[in-house]
Amino acid sequence: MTLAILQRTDRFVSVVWPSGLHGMNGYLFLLPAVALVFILVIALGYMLEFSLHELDLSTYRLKEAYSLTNYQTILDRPVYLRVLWRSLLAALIVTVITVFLAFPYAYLMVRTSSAATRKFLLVALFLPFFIGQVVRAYGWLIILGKQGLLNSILTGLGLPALDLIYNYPAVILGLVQYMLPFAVLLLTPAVAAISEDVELASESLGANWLQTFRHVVIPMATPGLVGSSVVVFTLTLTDFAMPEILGGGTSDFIANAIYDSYFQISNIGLGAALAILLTLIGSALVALMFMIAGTGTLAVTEAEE
Amino acid sequence: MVEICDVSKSFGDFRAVDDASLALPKGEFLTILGPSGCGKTTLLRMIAGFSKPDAGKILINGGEVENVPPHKRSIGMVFQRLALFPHMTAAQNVAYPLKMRGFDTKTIPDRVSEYLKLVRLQGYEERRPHQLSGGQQQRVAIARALSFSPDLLLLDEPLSALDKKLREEMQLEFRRIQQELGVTTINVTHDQREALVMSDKIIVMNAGRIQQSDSPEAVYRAPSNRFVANFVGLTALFGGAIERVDDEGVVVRVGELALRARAGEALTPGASVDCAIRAEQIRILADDEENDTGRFDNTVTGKVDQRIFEGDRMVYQVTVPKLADATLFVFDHDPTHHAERGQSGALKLAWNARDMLTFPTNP
Amino acid sequence: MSDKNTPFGFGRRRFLQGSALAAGALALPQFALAHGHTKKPSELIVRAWGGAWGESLKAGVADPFTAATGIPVRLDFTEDNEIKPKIWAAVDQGRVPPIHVNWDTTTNATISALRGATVDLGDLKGLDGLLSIAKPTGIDGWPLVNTYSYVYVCAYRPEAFPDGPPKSWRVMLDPKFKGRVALYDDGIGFNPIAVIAGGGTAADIPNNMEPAYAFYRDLKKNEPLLGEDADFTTWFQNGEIDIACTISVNARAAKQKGINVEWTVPQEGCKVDTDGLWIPKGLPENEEYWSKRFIEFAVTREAQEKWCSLLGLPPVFPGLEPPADLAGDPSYPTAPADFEKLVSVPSPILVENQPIWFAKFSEIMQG
Repeated sequence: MTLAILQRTDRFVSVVWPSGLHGMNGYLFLLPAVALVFILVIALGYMLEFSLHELDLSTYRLKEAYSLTNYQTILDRPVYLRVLWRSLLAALIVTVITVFLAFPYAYLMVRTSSAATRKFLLVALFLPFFIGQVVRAYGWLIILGKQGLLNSILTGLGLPALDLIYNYPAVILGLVQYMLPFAVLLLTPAVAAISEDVELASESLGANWLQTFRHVVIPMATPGLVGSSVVVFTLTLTDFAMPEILGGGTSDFIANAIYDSYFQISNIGLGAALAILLTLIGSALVALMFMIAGTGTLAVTEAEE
Repeated sequence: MVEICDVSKSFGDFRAVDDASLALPKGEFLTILGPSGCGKTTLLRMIAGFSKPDAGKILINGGEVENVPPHKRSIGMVFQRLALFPHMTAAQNVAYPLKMRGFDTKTIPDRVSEYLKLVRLQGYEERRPHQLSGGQQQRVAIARALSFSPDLLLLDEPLSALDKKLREEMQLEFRRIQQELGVTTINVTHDQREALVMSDKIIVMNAGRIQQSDSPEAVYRAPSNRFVANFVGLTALFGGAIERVDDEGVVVRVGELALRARAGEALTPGASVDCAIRAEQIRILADDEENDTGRFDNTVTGKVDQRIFEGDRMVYQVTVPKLADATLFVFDHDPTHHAERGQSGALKLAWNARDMLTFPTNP
Repeated sequence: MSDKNTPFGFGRRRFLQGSALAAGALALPQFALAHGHTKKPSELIVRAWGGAWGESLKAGVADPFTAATGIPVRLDFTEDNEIKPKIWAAVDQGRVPPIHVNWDTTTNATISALRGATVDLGDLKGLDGLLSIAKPTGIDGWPLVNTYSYVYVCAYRPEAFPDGPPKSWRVMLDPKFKGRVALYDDGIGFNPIAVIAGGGTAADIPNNMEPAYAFYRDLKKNEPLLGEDADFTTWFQNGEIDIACTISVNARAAKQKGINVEWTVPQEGCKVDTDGLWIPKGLPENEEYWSKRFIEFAVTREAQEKWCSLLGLPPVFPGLEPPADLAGDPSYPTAPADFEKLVSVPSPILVENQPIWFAKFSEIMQG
């Protein structure tokens, strides 16, 4: 019985995937990824299509006619440019701070000779991954709120309570904390790829640690730095939860504006236009980062190294 | 130039370097030879300044360097895996120490081409390390370590990863460059040939301790103990007891035979010893060749266990029943007889007393 | 009670039998028997708001409906704004919508009706006996049934107002309350009030909203917090805010939880609005039938009494007494005098203008 099933399966497979194609077996595993990217492209196509139709307020449907009204609306309303600028600025600030903090972390984790320290750093790195973004945002509310941990300490010391949440800096703080593990994770292999001998060589050649860091470690870690910067930048640029929860409603990012367009005012066309704009700007900036950092920073082209 | 006084270094319970002392005059090429884990690299890294001794002193140019960081020591170092900067060209690698050490920027290009010329890499200035062959990378590493005219050059087994032919070529190249510049050099290796070929002086280390410190010839011909005798060259070792000591040397009883050996340390009759005889010092006698002329002090007959063909020679591993089944190694450099000798299974071997050494057996 | 039910696939005769029984008594078991002949779905999914809202619907409508019909009711707490595009997409593509009954703001429900996503409810029993506000305005027929009205009150922390309740909404501009004022994140419930607080009159709505925008610009300097229903309760609980414009239900729920919150109707008035229930198109016949019975049940005297007293809101079923704690409360309008203090904007005007007001609000607040 089982044998019959196996034989039948075998026959089926040999018809669908003849043995002549077995040389391509490796590529078979690429199919899901290709399919995913393909679906994403199709979705983007739909978005583009939606974005070119204006909403008819008498039926709440998109008008048949093609127009650039939605894009015009975005340009006309300063709020969208402001929100866009706020998202970009946050992406920049968060990227700089996060990478700045993540680098020593990754470096210490790779170089420490103490197994206990490395273990601690690893656990501290992976623990936040088990705690979602939303929960972590609420964690900040508990710590930084008016009656939160920090303000309780302040008032306990007879100091005035501070407004620490529901503002832009709070969003930045939440995002930095959220992004840190991603950045460390992406930087660690890059740092680990730098042999300790190279650093010692630099020292023996007359460089102090700062010079070694600047002329050897940083350039050699560039692939990791670019990779983690791109990831942190794009994740921040498109973030929704942190501005939603920690921003107090007045520090919206583009994603929040897209959400509002889709759901609050049911304007799919406008939301799609914002999404297309975000995709374009994000892609352009990432391309720019790769161009400035040089080709092959992801170690794709210079594999022989 | 370099003086090391009673230096020790431990990692946890492991004594990597145990009370080591040495002195190296200016311009000499010293090789520290020993098996992996013997402490030679640890010692080298302490000289470079990458770690500090637990006890003892290191002096360079007469000054103690304990509190001098690596980048302030005038030491060029070539690393085992070269540690070239992959993001810099060959010329940039060589220029790096010059920039870091504040050389006049106007003189740097000239100096860089001077040293690239020294290592015969003209025309490769703009290549990145990964665009160079293994030998060329070695040359960049040397040029980089020497371009700032360091007082001392350290070599941390840089040739160990190369194939045999290239390694032998680079050994001569290192020696040529070192002699051309007269730079004081300390080389670390586990390769006895490399040590013998390149060095003015060899230090043999084992288990953190210096075993012998001598010229290459002395290390080879007069190993100071059983370890050195065994580590350098292909040596047979077997136990025996001193039968008598006379003007010509000693007579050692091994199994059923009494062998004549070179007079070693003062030995008293009855003391148990390890006998050492190198493969190339044993002669193979033809089956019908008798030692009646008395050319050799010792003659034995053994059974061939193994024949190892190495191209230019044959190595026999021979068991001698009358020597309490001791195993001897013998080279046969006579290719025309390779095929027939040892086929019968028996070999007649002979050697002279001056070539056989005895060391007191370790308690 | 008419022949309108016949399109839904059961015999007129059978229906008449059922209604005859129902007429016999209003007791719940009979309600079940009355409709016993159409195949019951395994459950009804009703989209609802969470917290005090969902609890009241469960206790006041869903549980008694299940008891009467044997049909389990599952509350789906998907955000009202998020369920809307899902229903629309399902209706457009001819798929079965994800829920049976949507509990929605009248404005959003009207928008869904304009988009043609709603089933007409004109054949429901008992609609005639309800207050006139039960029927949606500015649109034909009964695409939805309003079930109660509610007021966006001025909720405040009494400790922050030692001299008594705030008399004017303009107190929100007092620098003393910087960072301690809260509104809904789209400005809903406050837009018409802001016109009056900003120096205009109700007559300016919707043609001259500038006074409202001026008020928002001033308010922006005071760094208000913007949130949803649940946020207000949390914020009051954690001492983050002193004053908020929120639906009385949230303030009352907070108070019932022991949080020190009171509410008032300041001199400019408060916005009064309605919520309703509607059924998306595209349900299987029997499920649509039982969904209608659910709404029908929700406007019976029993359901209205329990549901609305739990919410603390005036029902659309006439003649019911307010809960004890709300008797005479300005947020529980009963007499015409009560309604005079409140500002009501007709649904058609809201449908047409609310997206514009939202956009302008966010433009000012995101600055």
